[in-house]
Amino acid sequence: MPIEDRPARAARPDEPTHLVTLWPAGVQLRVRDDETIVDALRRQGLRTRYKCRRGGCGACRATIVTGELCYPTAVCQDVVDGAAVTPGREDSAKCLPCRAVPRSDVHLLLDPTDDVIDMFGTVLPRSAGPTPAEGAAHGPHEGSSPCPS
Amino acid sequence: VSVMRLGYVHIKVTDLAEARDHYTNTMGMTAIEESDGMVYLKSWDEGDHHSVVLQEGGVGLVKLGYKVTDEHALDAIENRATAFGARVERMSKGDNVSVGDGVRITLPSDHTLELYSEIEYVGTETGLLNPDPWPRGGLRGIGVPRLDHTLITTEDPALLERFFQDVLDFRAAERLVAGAEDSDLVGSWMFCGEQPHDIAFVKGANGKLHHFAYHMPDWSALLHAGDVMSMRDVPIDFGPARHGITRGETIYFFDPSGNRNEVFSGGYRTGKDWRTITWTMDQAARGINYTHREIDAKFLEVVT
Repeated sequence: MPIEDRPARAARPDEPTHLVTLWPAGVQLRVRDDETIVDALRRQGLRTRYKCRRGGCGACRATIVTGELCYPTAVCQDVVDGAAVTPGREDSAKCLPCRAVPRSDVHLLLDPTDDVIDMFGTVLPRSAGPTPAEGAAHGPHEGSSPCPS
Repeated sequence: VSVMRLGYVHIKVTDLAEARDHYTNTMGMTAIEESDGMVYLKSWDEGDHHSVVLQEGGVGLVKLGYKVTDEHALDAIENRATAFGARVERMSKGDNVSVGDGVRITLPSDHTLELYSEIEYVGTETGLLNPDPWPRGGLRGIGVPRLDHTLITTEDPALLERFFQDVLDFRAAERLVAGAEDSDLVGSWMFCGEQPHDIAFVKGANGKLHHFAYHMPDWSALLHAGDVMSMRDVPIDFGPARHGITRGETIYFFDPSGNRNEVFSGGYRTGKDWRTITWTMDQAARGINYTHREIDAKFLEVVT
């Protein structure tokens, strides 16, 4: 999509959004259902690690703790899953935040080498909610799928 | 030297329509043929039927095609590749749209390499009679004139370098070495004609594509390409910057599936009497990005 067609505005108060929480920092952000998580981060002056922003490289890969995501564009499942699976966490669902759009409130665990960067010094709201482990224990069905057309 | 150049790059894309839009409207290539979920594209200054093939489903490299001078060269390459111990088979006219008989080799790095001498000649957009310097109808987007080279990854760069030397008569323009005695080959930039490189490889996973590159006339064309990328929200990897290795100028960026592309200009002229340049690991970042002398770890990790 050319940039002029991209939703670059802030969410209106009456607009549906989902709350996305990024662990371990616990950073929370409101994500519209017409933007990806990385687009929402960028819109709010934040960054996480990403590279191609097109779902091809896996640099942004994160673990879904709770919640549901979908992909408005086709993604390669091998890239979503990644080559290396953490022993004992074979069933942990992965996602690509550069292409994923939330369909519910979502808790994501970033890669241990990833972090949320506050590019412009905005004060980041912190979640008072459960830790990722607690969230996983009580969370609803986790997963991601293509967006319904 | 019987191998002339990188003829085609055949890649997988997650969404054919998005990829087609990128390669035609952003890069400025022309779709010559579309059939069976594939798009065959060429650049305006290329005469052969296609130089990029898009295939829907997944991401990454399907195969590379290098064009050789004639059928006898194919026989020689087949014999040498077999003697080397590579898996070799004959491919027939029609296996690839518009491409004639050839030899298909599975490289020691698990990449598929096709050698061919015949491909349908479509012609450049400026023709062969009193041509204009560029198409009168103008260029779309970046308006790349032609494909240039590719960089792939391999677990064993030394083995792949020996293959390209012994079987295909390539020579190393530049080499990146590591280890206590600078004896471990990390990367090699190899040519078959007089370019700085027609193929390059660095240590990494077998079978993967790091990028393929288009040739651009000069630095200012690169900056114009950068403007087009921003207008069309193409994710940039790095650049515009100068390479130490090859002395070329570059912007790396990603197609809509996350396959890495490059626009490349400049560089020097090589040839049969070229003496190989060596880069050591302490200067590797300068070799790759001479301007910034630093590279993001993901630059070498991210492949498709």
